[in-house]
Amino acid sequence: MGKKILIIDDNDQDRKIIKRFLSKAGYDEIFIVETGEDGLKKAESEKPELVIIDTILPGIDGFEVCRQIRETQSPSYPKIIIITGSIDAVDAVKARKSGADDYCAKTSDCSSLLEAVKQLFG
Amino acid sequence: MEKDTADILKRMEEELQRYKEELEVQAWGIKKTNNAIKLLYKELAEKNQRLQELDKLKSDFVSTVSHELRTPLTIMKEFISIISNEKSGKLNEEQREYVDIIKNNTERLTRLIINLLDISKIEAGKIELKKTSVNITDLVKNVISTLKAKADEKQIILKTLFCHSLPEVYADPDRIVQILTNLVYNAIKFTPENGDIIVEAIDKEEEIECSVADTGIGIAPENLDKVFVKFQQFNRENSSGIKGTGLGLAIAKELVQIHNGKIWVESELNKGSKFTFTLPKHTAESFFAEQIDIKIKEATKNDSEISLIIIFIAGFNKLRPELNDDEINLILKDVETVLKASRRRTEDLIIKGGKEIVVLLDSCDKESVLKVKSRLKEALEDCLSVKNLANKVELRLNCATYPDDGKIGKELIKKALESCCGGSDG
Repeated sequence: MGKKILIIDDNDQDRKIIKRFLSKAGYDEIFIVETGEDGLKKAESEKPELVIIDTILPGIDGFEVCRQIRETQSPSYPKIIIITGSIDAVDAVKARKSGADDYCAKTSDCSSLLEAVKQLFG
Repeated sequence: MEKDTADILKRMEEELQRYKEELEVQAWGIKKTNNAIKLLYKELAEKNQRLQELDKLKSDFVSTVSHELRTPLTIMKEFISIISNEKSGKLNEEQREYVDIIKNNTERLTRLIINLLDISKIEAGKIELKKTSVNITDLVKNVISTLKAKADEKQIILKTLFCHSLPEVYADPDRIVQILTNLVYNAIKFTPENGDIIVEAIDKEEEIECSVADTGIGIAPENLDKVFVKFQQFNRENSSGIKGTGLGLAIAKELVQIHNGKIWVESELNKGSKFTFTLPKHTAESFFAEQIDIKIKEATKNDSEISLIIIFIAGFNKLRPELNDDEINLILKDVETVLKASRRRTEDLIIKGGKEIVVLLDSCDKESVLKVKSRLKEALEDCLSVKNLANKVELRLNCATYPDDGKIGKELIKKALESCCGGSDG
């Protein structure tokens, strides 16, 4: 579908699952990094249309990564989804305030993430 | 003035707008969280359902193995014995030999199935030990008498050596019999005709040590550490032809270990082998404490309370001239039966010790336990008066509650016993 997607997640298994489901859904240009720092660099160099960020990352956390991407790029580009294994209303608000377009749970079938991606890409 | 009012109104409006935005973000967060929780809950429910199905499949399989395989085996054994006993006609020497082979192998298959079921249960942690106060001497005698015929076939002498006044241990008698049977059976199998087998039980400081020594073919040093491994069999060509399942010692080892004991082997080729296992000594009190601690763990998890009631024969020594230990034990057994009959929930534990019985009640607070206590007391008094024991025996009941009276089993028992011996109840 020609959409560039960047995944920032330090959990090996989660990365693989997310990548597999996104590929299956037809998104073939996927970049994967493990840390927030690498994520910021990749977001700058590749200009992906969507960035998927895990909340807990080594070094700078997901919310901060989200905020910095928003600061350096435009308020509506790229789309940003913050994902998490531990759902928390306070985190959801934090994600929104950091500029994320969506906040969703990691499920084993990635259904909520895929739904969110579909909505953002319209 | 008008300008000021307008300014204030404008600031208030801005403020309200900020609040509105903040509330919208908060609402967004809650909505997202809500959706995620719903989704995760659904996923959990599905996984749980799947797990239950798998668990059922597994237990179904195990029961299929036990029933479906055993049924045809039983039928086979039945008809083999008809042929073997020559009820369907005389057998010639060759036919006799073949029938014996079939017979031995059906028996072996039966043992194999039973052992496989056992080991799968042990490995799944599904064996629940029914620990009670156990006299090892009695169990050894029991095993010896069952296996004596097998030993006689090979003119093997089975000897026992017991230490006097061996204290009782807290163990599951059926499982100890299983361990001993496996060891003695092996000893008979690997000992040539006219050999000796000695079963010994001695009192060590912290444990009871029980050993089975034979004058058999022995085990080569390089194989010693493999004997307790599943499906390892040695010296097959030298053995008497009865094939084992290769599981007996593995099962024995697991069973000893879940009793917190140790098992080991010493052996010399062509001289013999000696298998030894230990069972830790427990006082009745430490055994109660162990059981209570297990319950406390569950209670902490469920955030509930548990209570215990100790039923204690008071003035035990004063009773002695009239009642000997066996009789006292019988009374305790009666008491246990009454307790079991008046128990209202099956999850409540009743544990019998040497002179006392402990009743463990799940999710039972300080008030409820007093009610249960008086109910039990009534039932027990009825039982004693029916048996004309009311004047001879004095039963004292006392209780303690977790977490009010103590955080661990030991404290709770101490608390209950204190009030038992010095309390107003006596």
